[in-house]
Amino acid sequence: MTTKILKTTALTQSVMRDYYASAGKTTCRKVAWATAIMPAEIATAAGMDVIFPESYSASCSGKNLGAQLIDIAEAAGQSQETCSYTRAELGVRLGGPGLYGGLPRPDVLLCCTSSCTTVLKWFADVARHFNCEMIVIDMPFNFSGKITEHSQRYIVKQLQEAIRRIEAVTGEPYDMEKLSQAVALSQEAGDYYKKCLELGTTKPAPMTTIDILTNLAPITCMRGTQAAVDVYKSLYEELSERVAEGYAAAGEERYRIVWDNIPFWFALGKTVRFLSEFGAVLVGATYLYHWVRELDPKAPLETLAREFATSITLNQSVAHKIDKIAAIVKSYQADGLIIHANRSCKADSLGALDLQREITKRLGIPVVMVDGDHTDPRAYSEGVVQTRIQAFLEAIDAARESAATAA
Amino acid sequence: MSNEAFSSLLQRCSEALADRRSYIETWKARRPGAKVVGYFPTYVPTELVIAAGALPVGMWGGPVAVSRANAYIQQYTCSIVRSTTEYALKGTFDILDAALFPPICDAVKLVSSIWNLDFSDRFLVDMVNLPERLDSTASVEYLGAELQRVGDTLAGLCGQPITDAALRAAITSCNRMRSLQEELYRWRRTAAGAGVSLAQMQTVLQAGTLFDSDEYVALLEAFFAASGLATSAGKVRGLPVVVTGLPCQQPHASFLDVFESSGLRVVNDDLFLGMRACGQIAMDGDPYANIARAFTESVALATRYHSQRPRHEFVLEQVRAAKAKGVVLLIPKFCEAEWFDLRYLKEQLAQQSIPCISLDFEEDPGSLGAVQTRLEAFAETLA
Repeated sequence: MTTKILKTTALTQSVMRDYYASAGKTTCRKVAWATAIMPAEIATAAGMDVIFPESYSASCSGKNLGAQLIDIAEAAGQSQETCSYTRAELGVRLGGPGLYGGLPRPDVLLCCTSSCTTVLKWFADVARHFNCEMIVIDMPFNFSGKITEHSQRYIVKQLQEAIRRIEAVTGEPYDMEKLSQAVALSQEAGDYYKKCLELGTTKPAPMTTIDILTNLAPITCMRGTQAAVDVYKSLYEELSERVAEGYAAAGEERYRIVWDNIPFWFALGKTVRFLSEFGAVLVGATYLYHWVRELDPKAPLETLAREFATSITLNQSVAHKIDKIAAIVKSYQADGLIIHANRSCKADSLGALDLQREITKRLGIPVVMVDGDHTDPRAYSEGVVQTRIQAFLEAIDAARESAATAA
Repeated sequence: MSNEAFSSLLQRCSEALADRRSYIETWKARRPGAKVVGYFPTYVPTELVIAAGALPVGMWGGPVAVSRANAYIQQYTCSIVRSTTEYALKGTFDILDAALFPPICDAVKLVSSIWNLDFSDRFLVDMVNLPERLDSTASVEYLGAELQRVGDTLAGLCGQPITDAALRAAITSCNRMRSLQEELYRWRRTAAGAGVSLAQMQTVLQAGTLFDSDEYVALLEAFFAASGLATSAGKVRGLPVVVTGLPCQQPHASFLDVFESSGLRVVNDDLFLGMRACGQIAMDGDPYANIARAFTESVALATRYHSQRPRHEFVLEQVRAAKAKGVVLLIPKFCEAEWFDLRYLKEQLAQQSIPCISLDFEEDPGSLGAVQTRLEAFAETLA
């Protein structure tokens, strides 16, 4: 069957083209590079152009530029043991063929440890390269599964300190009212985004995971802007229509599958096509839920601190991560879970063996682990991944048969 | 080496490390009901453990064949997280009442969480949630509160409150331990101590993560009293180098012995640096705040960020202080933080025209032929 492309995708593409085309082009606007799980609303509110190198590397990987960029970084001495997002970005920094003609030079770096410790090492290297200032927001790992009071206080103080440093970079007094507005817009986009994810769990699926991933960039890169609100409002309306019509984005859903961990962007399309040969549909991904937050414009710093420290499973205990992922997988009425053991991301991959056991135990569905890497194709083997997925689908069949026999 | 006092110190340390369980059992037998608290590198404030009346013991892994741990941890992680997990599953750590982890890297954050999920029926698992940035006053305040929380947990475990007096006494003991270790480094740079190999230093320093702190202090003091410091002049052999990359995972002694057999003399290193780096903790005022401040003022390791104290300056200072001719970067396999620093440190050393070489290692030394060849070749370039 032919899958209709979401109309919103054209809007997203145009918004993102404009975003990259205009970033760093206006002389009075400063450029900040931010890590993916940084409360970058604090910089957007100060009129900065904020760029997210992880999102950018993912886009480069999706366009199959990863291998070439990584080669450039490794030829310059960067180790293969470092995250491949960072190697791809370094490849672009050293003159490699990045999308949109590369990234604008940063005036300041905003680095938050909520995603991982890796970003501290990466951005320190970027800071040395451009000789620019780096603002760190340290978000302690939530070992107990919830944020401690002193951790919350620590993060708020760092955000206050960051605001003072942003003032020094822009040369303008910081307007807390604008921060509240940016947080309000961020939350408005986030609310629509969350509702899109909720609609996405409908059976039959009104969109596939590829559809939502194609529209992910605005929530990662443009929070705090009206453009991001427009994208997710449009997507929500479009999906509501599809659900009302009972539209099935992938036709027959013989197997509803959920994905865990960052995808291997360069081979995701191919994997989805392989799945579809068996009537299997990738209906959801746990990765999408890193951007679901509850911000309050009346308490911007407190809620940015709390939400960015806790909304991402990478900064949470393994027990908490398992609970959250089990709930997500259940919400999709999934028949199986594919866990990507991501060679480049220990923060998202360690604990996966516990996750695999627990999901099988709690939800009674097969879980398969496939090795790969989000940007480095050398850590991925198409044959091995496909063989494992095929065996996984057979395990779902076997589970169904034994359930039928038991009944 | 010929120094008898050092030989005796070394023997005492080696014996204790060879049978840690006996040492711990003897310690416990003398203190009925006292607890033993394991801790993972690079740094946990052991003063808190001592002040709660418990024995802090470093969990350093080792060259164990990993099999059961593979059901918990992927194989593309460093050997120390895999070997310690294997030990936990084998029951080696069942003598511990608690295991404390610092959040030193993504792997250790997650592995500690896996231990908490899967092994907390064996012992209490907790994290001393140190800040990852050292350059904010907010970090000191945060850490002070976190240390209070950990202190409360330890007090609950040990059934006795941590008094300020007990904490100050523990700080005094650990301060003395760290100053004696510094003295040991100074002594080793004299002719008298020059014959001490890197592996021997590793043994003496590692024993400091097992022995009761007062007992360890007494051992080192006895050594200095008996050695008469610079009296027995040894012959200084080998080209002086600095070794960096060792605060966490430890190479096997046979791996470290290759340095001397390749014609190199290690004059400065960062063995167990996390435990040594906080130097002398202040005694006046709030002891929790003092420990917190000392931590944030310590040197920046690969996994700690400080905007004004980059790691290369520390390495360069180690080279200058010991008049080293080159640097060996020892990189634990799969340690992302150290691999990130490789390109950066190489560039910084090259700018200063300091020769360097990098080697990766796992706890299991494997075949050492290639290591020997590379270190010999490096020694030739320095000669």
